[in-house]
Amino acid sequence: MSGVTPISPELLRIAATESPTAAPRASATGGAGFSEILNKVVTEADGAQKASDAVLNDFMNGKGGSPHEVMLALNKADLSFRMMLEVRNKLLDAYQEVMRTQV
Amino acid sequence: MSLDGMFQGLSISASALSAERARMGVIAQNLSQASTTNRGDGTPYRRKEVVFESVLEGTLQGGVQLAEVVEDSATPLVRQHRPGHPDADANGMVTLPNVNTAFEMVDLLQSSRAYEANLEAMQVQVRMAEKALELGR
Repeated sequence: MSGVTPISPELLRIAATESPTAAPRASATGGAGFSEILNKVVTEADGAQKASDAVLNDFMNGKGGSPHEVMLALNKADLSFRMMLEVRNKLLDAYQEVMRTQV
Repeated sequence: MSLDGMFQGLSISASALSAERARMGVIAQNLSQASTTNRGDGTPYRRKEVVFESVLEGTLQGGVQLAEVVEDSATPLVRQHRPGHPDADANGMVTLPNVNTAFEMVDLLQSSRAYEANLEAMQVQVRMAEKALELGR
């Protein structure tokens, strides 16, 4: 048994300075903040959703495209969204864990 | 987008699917024109063939795309004796396209198998990405 890994000072700093709903801002040390990371991943997922929407719309309106292109775009959107969800869950877990820490 | 790394392999497979669809279109054209004796200018249809080329963006991303559709002038046209045909010459001979339906069917099967293979590669990559995301749980 290697014992419990101590919480990194980085994580404590994030929990202390950032709330999940805060506007994105860079931290003093130059690393990306909690909400900044979340914001970036959400933007990625949103972009993929919009792209798949456009491809599907074009296909259904007979403006070209092929079935596999539509499925590819839908898959990209799906995976991006689930990636966003996983990152969000992880970040929130870490945040809540730190907030529960007894001082 | 920074998530593009996740979909690089998918884009390669998708380019192959597009290329195979183009090849199937050309084969369908060959089959449908197999007995066209006059394509407007008095000459019979000539079978067409696709040429694929690789798309290189850097060294990693290597998809495939349709380079050109070339006319097959090496295979000789078929000559048949059909005196009643409006396109027959003075000797009653008609020149038919150089399309061999059996060969086209083999090409079609090949194209269809290639399409399936790339589709499978795509599905495997999607499954892998899904499995990797399960690491987060």
